[in-house]
Amino acid sequence: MVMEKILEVKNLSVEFYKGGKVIQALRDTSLTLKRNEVLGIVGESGCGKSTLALSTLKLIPEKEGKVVSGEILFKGEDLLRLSDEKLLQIRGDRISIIFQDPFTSLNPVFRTGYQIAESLTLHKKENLSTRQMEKEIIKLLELVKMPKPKDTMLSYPHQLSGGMQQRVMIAIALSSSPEILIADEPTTALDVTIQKEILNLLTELQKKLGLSVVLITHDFGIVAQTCQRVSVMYAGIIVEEASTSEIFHNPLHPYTKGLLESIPSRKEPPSSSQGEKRRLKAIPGQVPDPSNLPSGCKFHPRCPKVIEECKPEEPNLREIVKNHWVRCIRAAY
Amino acid sequence: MLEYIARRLLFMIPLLLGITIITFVIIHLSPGGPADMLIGLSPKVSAEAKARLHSLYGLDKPLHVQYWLWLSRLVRFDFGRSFKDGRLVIIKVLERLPATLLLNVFSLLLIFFIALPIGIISAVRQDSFLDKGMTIFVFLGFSVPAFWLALLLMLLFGVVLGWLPISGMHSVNFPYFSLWGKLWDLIKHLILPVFVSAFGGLAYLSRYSRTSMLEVLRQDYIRTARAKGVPENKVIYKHALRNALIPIITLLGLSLPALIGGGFIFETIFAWPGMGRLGYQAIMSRDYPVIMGVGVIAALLTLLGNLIADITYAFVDPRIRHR
Amino acid sequence: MWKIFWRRFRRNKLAMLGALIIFSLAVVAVFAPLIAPFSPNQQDILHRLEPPSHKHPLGTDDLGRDLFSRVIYGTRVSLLVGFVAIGIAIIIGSFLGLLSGYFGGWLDAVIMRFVDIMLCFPTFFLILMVIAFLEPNIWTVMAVIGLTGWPGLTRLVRGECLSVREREFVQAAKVLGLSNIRVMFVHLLPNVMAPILVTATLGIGGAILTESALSFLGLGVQPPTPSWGNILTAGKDYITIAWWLSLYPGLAILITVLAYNLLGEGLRDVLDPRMMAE
Repeated sequence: MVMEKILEVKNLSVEFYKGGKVIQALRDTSLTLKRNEVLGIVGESGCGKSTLALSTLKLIPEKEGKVVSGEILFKGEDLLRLSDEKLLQIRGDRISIIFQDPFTSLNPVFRTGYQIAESLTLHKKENLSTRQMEKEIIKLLELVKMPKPKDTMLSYPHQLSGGMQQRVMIAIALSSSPEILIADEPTTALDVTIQKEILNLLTELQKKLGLSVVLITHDFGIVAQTCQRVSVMYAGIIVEEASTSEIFHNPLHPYTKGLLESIPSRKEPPSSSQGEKRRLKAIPGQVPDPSNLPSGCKFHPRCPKVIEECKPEEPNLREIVKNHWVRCIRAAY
Repeated sequence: MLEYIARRLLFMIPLLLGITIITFVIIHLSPGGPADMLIGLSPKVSAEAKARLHSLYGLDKPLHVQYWLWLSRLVRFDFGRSFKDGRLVIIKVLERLPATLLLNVFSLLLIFFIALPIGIISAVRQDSFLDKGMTIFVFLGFSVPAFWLALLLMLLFGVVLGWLPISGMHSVNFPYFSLWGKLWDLIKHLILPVFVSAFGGLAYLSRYSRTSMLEVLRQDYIRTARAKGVPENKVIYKHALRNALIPIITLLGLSLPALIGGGFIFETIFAWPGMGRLGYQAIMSRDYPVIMGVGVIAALLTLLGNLIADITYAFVDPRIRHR
Repeated sequence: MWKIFWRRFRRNKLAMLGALIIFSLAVVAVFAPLIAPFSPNQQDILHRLEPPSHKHPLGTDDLGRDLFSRVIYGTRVSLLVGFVAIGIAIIIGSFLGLLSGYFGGWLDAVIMRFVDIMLCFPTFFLILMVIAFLEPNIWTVMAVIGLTGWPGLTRLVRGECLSVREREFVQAAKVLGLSNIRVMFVHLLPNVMAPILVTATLGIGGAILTESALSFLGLGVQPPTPSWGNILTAGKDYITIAWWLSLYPGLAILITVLAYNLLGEGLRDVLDPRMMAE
């Protein structure tokens, strides 16, 4: 069976305007999401991953930023060129998105049940009576494993814990049985213990409902747990892309290697049995200022393997190993 | 929420006490002291009579005793009698209160129904022509001396055009009007004072509404609403507005003191028979008991306005209503 | 850092306009005797209530005094009252606000309670009441406006203190053992200066409005000293026959207060710490 490409981002470039300066948030980025796949997008703050998510549903306010070029194809149709009407049919309906901070993402003056009902009303074609609506809401809350669905339905967002709020967000997102779920750092704002629960929930739901998921995070650990494929982003562009196991076992881009090496590992104690200490390696330098990017490969000022050829021109993505793409001229070595 | 209201009420007690203290201090500020409060500046009263009154009213007693006396009188709303006509101050104030309330309530309504939409639309269409125009209007509104505006409007509408009456609450032949006639007459007399009284508040509230709405539009939950596929006008008028209204409504309650304060000027200019005018006349004629009476009632009304604002806020914001 | 402010200030056209107007007014106030064609108190009963003419560009008032000259001298009153009254309010307000914000605890509670009580009274009426019991003249007006204007400022300063207090350099100063007073004035104060400055500028406009309202009611600056407000009193009495008496002094007030508001708002934009992140 051929795996269908459900979402294709092609050469997307997005600019932001802040304080009179132009910031290139995304530069000629391309990626693909296949049906039923969980794709991870990893990168540090400011690398453009959230921008990618927001651009999909045109959620970037006009005053703040603009898509300069590129396409985002959903089942072959370019989302960026849709009429407003058609866009409303996609938002929350075929493609849903959940955000980082569930507390600020829920409207504080409406009851939780109401906010879920709103989504149901918008996207289900039939008119539901109040009782039917309540049943649907409770069904959804049960789906996201909410402990006390009826109470939750009647509460206000501020009365719920972080984990519960995020479950509500997921419930809202799934109320329309979407095809794609974009999760923008869904667990970053939550306690560590809750993080695992929510991630497990997402994985379960993905399998159960056959969702195609884009999971955006800065944490490789989360990627390892949930994603099948990973794209690593740096300074607004993808620098490496491969399956999860391939990336962990054979990272080819110096940045990816640096990221993986800077993760403290629970399994390795700080001092091994031979008395040697393993040091946490940090990547030297800082993420570049998006309004003032270096020439050539954007990582070159911090790269341990930099050579002169890295400086003038930014390299293209090359398939070094099968299905493993790297944007680095030194990757083959 | 009842707990919240109870707490607010409790909070007010020190404020009430504070009002009594401050008014007490003010009375003692005058050169003649509180004696003037009781006997006026009538030169006819001999030194002996003054001395007798002093002991009679306890003016020779220590301050804290005097304060206690003052406090006990305040609680009974006993402000004494007016110097001008000897009538009970409290009666005089209560007589004029409805007129003042009428003026202020209409001002509040005007402010709310005009400033709010202007502010909201300016926020939604930021930097548009309307927004810039509104900003200019607001700046002018803050800078114009209201009493001057009153004069100019009186000049224009009253003298030059002759459309509107420029003083009082009723025309001379009011009692002979039909019901509708009376109503219309009242409205005609209300227009100028209400407009002038509301003017400053209009500027302020438009600005505030705009700021509040802009703040709300920046929030994450607005982004969520759009991501859910809610049509844009619903995003603004359902999701955003409901949140933006919360501080605005509270502000309305807090506008009452400003209106009452301004009332002194406007009621005087337009000869509006309200509490403010009474207060002004009392000041001009050094009718101290009346001044005190009006002052304390005004302070109480302010407190009431604050309380109403607090309660409304608790009602309207679920984060307070359900803890 | 001040250089950045200055550059940004220059870019803000409205603020520059405000500053320009205020500067001109200050010049007018200082050089009033040189600018005004007549003495403000020079009466000429034969020529009372004359409309604007070549000799009297703004007309004459009910005692034949040249309105133009009176308006010019009125500038002195307005600017003086504005500065002094707000000066008083700032000194009291900042001091109490610093105390309240820095020490917290019961001192904070007491001060804020006091602030709340003061704010209970409609400010204007409070001023009226106090003046009624005293003698109305320019000094009492300045004092009373100042003494009723500080509560708002106290709240503001306290708020700023609370947020700045937690920042590292304050902690560092305390750890170093610097005396409380030193920390307050040398470290905290400069950082809360910005909003104080903005509020003060806007406050001057408000003070001028209040003074003119008081003078208009006869409870402020007393004639014959010309204040824009008390000229308007005559304007009200002669409204039907001498419109110029009502128009020009009010216009003067409007322009002055507008200038302060423009300047104040401009300062607010310029000194906004959020814009520092650029």
